Amino acid sequence: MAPMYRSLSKVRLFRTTYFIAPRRAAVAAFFCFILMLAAGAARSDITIPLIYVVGSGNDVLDNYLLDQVRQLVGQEVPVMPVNESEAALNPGVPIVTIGRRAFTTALGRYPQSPILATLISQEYYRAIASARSDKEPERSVSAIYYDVPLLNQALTGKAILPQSRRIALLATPKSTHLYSELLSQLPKYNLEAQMFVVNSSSELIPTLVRALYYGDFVLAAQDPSIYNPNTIKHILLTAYRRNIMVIGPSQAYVKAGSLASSYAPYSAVAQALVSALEQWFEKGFLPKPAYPTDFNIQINEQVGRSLNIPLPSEASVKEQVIEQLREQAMPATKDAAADAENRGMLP
Amino acid sequence: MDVTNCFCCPTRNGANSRFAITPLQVAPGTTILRCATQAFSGFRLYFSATLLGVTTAVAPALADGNDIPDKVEPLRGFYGFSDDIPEVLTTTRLRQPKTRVPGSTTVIEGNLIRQLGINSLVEIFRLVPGMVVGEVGSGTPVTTYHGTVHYEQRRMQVLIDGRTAHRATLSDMDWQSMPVALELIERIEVSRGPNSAAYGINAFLGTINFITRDPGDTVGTELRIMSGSRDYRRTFASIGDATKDIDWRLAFEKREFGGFDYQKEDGEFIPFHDGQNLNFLMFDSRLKLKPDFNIELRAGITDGVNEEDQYKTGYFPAQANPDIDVQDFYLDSRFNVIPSADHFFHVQVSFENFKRRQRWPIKVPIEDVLPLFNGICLNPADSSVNCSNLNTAPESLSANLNADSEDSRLELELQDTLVLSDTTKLVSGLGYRHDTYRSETFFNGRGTSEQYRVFGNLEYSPTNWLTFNGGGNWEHTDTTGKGYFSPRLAANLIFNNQHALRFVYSEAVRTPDSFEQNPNYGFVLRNVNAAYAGELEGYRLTTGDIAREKFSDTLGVELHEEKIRSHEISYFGQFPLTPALLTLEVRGFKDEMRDMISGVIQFEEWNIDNSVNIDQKGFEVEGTLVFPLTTFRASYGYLDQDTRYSGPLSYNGQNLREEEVPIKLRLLERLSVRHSGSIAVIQTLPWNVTAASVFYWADEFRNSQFERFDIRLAKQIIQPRYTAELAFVMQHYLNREFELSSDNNIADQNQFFVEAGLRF
Repeated sequence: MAPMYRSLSKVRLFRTTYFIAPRRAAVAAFFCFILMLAAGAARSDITIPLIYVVGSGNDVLDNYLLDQVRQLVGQEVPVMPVNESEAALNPGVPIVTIGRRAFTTALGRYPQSPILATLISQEYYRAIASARSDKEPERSVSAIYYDVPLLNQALTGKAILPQSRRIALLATPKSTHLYSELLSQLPKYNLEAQMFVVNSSSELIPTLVRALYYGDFVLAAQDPSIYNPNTIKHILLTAYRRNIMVIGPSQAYVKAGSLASSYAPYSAVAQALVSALEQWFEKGFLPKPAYPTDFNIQINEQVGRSLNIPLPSEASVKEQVIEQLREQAMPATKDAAADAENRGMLP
Repeated sequence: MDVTNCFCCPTRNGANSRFAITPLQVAPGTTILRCATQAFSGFRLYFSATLLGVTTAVAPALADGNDIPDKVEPLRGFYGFSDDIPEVLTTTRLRQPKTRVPGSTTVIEGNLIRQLGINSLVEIFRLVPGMVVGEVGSGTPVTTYHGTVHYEQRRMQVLIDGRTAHRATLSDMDWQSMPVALELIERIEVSRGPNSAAYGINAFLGTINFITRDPGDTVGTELRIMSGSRDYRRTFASIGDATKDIDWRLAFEKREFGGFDYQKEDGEFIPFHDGQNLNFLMFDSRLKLKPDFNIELRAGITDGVNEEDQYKTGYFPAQANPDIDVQDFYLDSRFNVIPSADHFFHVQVSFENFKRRQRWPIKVPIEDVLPLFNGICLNPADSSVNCSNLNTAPESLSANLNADSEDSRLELELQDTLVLSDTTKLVSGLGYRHDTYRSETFFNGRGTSEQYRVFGNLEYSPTNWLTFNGGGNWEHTDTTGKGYFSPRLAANLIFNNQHALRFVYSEAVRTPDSFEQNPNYGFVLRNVNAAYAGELEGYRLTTGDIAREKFSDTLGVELHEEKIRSHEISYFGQFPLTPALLTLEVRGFKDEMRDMISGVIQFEEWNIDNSVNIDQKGFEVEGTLVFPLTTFRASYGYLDQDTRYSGPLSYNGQNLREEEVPIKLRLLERLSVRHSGSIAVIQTLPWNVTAASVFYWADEFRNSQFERFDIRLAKQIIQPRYTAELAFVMQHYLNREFELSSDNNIADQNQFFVEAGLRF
């Protein structure tokens, strides 16, 4: 069957280009080059000459993210899908990967190129990075995580329910490490947490029930072994019948009925991506893997009303979270503050 | 693979929006996209970009390792009414946040009950503003909202998961044999104020709705044992599972209690035989047949002994304790159909059987035998009695009596909830109840009664600061042969979504129960001693045979309905006081009760009639203040009741005796308490220790006060595979004087209990 193209609009020429089958990439590149020259005449401060992309396979998603990137770098910067051998690529241009699969594919296919991963979890990135660290220590690889630090989520819960103190966490034996950093951070914020380990799927609800006796709210990380489309309804209803709110793990779960979540908007991912690329082109190295610096809060007001929780606005929750993070960063040493900033916890 | 773009998901804020898109490969060349937008309505849409068709499958993408972050379905019906989100459910039958409910509703979470160390069902109601709790007869617990009842608790509707819980024909609540374990209470909603508009003629003063834990939430095993003063011992065990098709739970509870320590009899303190030993087996399940159709099935058995003291049996001197053998069961099914998030209905069918076997020997002293025979011969219930053989009394009369009874209730209900628009919600339904009663003693055989009704409530919010509720219930009962309409109208002014001022007007009726209206009270004498056996063996001794001297007899008087008109102004508000949250509800009320049925219902005296009017006013406050690790809760009720006699001044040409009017008034005032309330503090301490203390009081309880201070210390041990809890509870009675009855005496002001629980 012949491929079907759907042009988004005239100004989305590059996006269309991006979807063109690989064999036409060269033609597309040529067009890009011409346009780049034309644009270059108009703008003199461009620091990013070209963006290589390995997409997620989900066109709409890729388009959307790249559109955000274009808004930042200007429409004239060519965005090149890469699918050919490494030899054809400029080794001085990092490959931006979108999603998990693109990252692993790019790592294998382009062993020499610098790679900047996006829309990837810290969890996944660390797993991959530690597996390959021995083999190719010199290679430039970094990431913009798609989620937000769990501490942001915990503080989001605290901002919505200021009287809360205890946080219930659910994990499988394999996912407990997701929360280990959070557990060490919480005491500074006058919060405490208890991990409830689910050993098998049949233990999920009994463990949740035990957790609900402990926590003022449940904090959910991006842990598909616990939170997935098959389990979420049961988890939410059991918690809500106990009048306990669930925070996280992401915006989509808020739509499904979780009370609130902080999340990194695509604009923030794009911003972080552009900053990283700019650093590469200016200084020659990628920044450390980081969360996007900005985040937003999404609240499910219907659920809040049902639980009789007086809801602050999303903007005010965000403000409080930032305030809390700042307060804790201030008295700390410069290093700690810098560390917090590096990890994307401070905007 | 075909390429499809999803542009059908508009975003409110482009920069902050995020698409979650799931490509589902249906067939080569086809991609189906599901778009999640900020508007959740869009979330439900499925987009087919293609060529071939649509599938409704949703993406197990996370499980498949697809790297696009989230694809989760919004819960079906989550935003409608079909899921048990704990909004207030009881008041109108619509799920409503407290700001939109037409009336004050106290919600008591199961967790609070357990944290405060409450050890019996009836004790929970000490936490509800305006409710009082006491014990009558042989330690029989009673509770009411705004007084007016004592022995028989007829003026509140009590429901367990939507099933009527009080006894069918005697319209009484037996809290001791109520098949609800404390561990299985999810929450209790007490709708304070007349609620006949939603629940019919028994919901005269309010509604108590027990919502038990969903079987899906109690997967695993729970064991708990609590033991302490006055031979208190409660054992609980439950086991359950949740699978794709069925959630179920089987629970067992054993309640043992010694009751009060001693009673006062002829000026002497002697041991009181008023305990209980009851066993409960309860099964709850939910069959999840389809996403839009599930069936709840419940069943339960109660078996055991409720002790009665021989000195509390009434007219004839008992020779042994007339303990009640309890054998109850229930079957309950509810068919939930959820055609859409905006429309939901259920059909509930339940059958309950209450069987009581109570038999005891009596001995009429020789000096009382002849007066008794005179009564029989003056008005023999059985014409076969040969009075010429009863003109001497050679010895005392001994015989066996019984007060056996068996009530059955079949109840059907259809309830339909419709979200007509964002501003308008309608709940409506039909109900039918068929009661059968069998008792040689109370009814001289078998009888039935029927009720059917239509109910509805419309919630309309023209703006976000104003909600109107209008509802009503029309019901026909054959105990009076009439139909009654009970309306309720309310306007809620809502400020900032966190404060509401409510104006509520409601009317309700209570019709007399079968026993009040059609009593046929009589004891059949069995095993009569030899001297009288020939004449009296099997004779049914009725109230008519007894020389009644105290009160005017009203047997045969046709009773009609009691009526209440209630006006409520209440305020509900939440104040975020970072880092605390203050929730406050204040209810002011002014009620007029007319034609209240009052009088004595006893074998030897029967003088009830619609004869009392009551005007009452007062206010109630309920507040919680939650800090990190600390919770305060307080409730207070103030009741000013004015009771007046409104009945006839003579019956059958005989004027009322002087003392009758004050007695009839007092009978309705025995549980009317001017001040009552509770103050509780729960503190979470390090090492998973929780300390709770609560003070309860009820002032001007007849001539005394009830004051008790409880503390509970609990240590939780959270292990990877189980959570264990050890707790110690102490109850301290500040006031040594009995309340209500001089028989209700406790030897030690301090009562101690220990608790151990395990959940895994």
